[in-house]
Amino acid sequence: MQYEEIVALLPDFLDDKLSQRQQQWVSDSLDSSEELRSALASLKDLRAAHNQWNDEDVPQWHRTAFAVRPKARTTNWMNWVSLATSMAAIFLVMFRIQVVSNVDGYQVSFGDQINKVAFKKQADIFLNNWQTEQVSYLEHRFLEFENLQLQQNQQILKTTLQYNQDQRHKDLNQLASYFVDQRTQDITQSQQQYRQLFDSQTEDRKSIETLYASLEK
Amino acid sequence: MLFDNDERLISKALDGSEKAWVKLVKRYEKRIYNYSLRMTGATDEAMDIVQEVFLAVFRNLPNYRGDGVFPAWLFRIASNRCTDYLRRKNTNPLENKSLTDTDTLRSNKMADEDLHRSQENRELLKLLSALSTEHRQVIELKLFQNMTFDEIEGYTGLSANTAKTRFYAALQKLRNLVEVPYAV
Repeated sequence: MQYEEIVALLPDFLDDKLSQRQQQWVSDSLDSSEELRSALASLKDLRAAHNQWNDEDVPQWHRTAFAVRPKARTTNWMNWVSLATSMAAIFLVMFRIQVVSNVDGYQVSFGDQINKVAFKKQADIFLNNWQTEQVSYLEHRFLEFENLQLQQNQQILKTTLQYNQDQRHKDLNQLASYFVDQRTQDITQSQQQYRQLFDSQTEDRKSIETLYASLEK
Repeated sequence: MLFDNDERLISKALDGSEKAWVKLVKRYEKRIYNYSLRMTGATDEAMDIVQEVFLAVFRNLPNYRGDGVFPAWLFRIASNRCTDYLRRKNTNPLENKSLTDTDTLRSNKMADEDLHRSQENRELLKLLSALSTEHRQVIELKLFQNMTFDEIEGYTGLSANTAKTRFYAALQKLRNLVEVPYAV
């Protein structure tokens, strides 16, 4: 085990990294052991070989083969192109579109020449029908609007009348109540005045009687 | 930024930046490749290991704690993967290729590789080829990666004493092999 310990120190011994005591110990051990000297020689050979090692370049390799993220889903524009092409073809067939090259250049026509009049007639019929439908629709909408407006006005009038009636009824009740209260107060006040007058008359009469009595005497 | 540090590149790679990942790989692949090359002696096997290492790194990147020791973390993975690879192969491609009859024992492919390899590199690979995988690993880590025996213990799981024993045995074996040709 001691050999192994010393051999383990040999790299640091070569680099002069050991303490003075360890350096001396290893040095003495080397002097006395052929085996250790052999180990040191091997170590030197290895180090010499390694010092001359030239790092080799890494061959080409795919560094992201395993790290690559799933590709973002791209729009398959080819599908859209094919759809657009199909729609355009259907459109061309339905409207009988013709592209004619003549001396004036290219001419695009819808339907053949024979059907132009018929197409115009059909278009007029369609437009007339559409106009009639639109007029009818608008009239219908106006009527609906008028009816709605009428209903709303009636509702407002009814509500207003009801409110006025309620208010008037309330006012009359207040007036009657006030009249009764006032009348009661007036009667009470008259009674008091009559009583005072009666008392005064009685007192006057007593005074007259007293005066009369004194005169008679 | 002109120079992205490892942590920044890792962060970007985790966010899905392929460019950052490639930059990180390129920064360290040469070291890992040459280490693997010395361990296996063959270019294609070294490349297999490089790919395994960076695959493992990529998978474990979210677990990297980012404490500024990415090279050490990377090399620990490389060391483990290299050992696993050689153990899995269960053969030592460099063994049985004595220094005296390398031309007859090496495959044509390896001979071709040798032609393109510098004389210096060839010498070291010859020396290492005399060692078993275990011995070569200790020599590589101790002498070429400049690790202490305690660090080797941490990297490989070997005890420091076992590493020292292997180191000693490796040097002895090398000495014997060097002396044999001259003895004959």
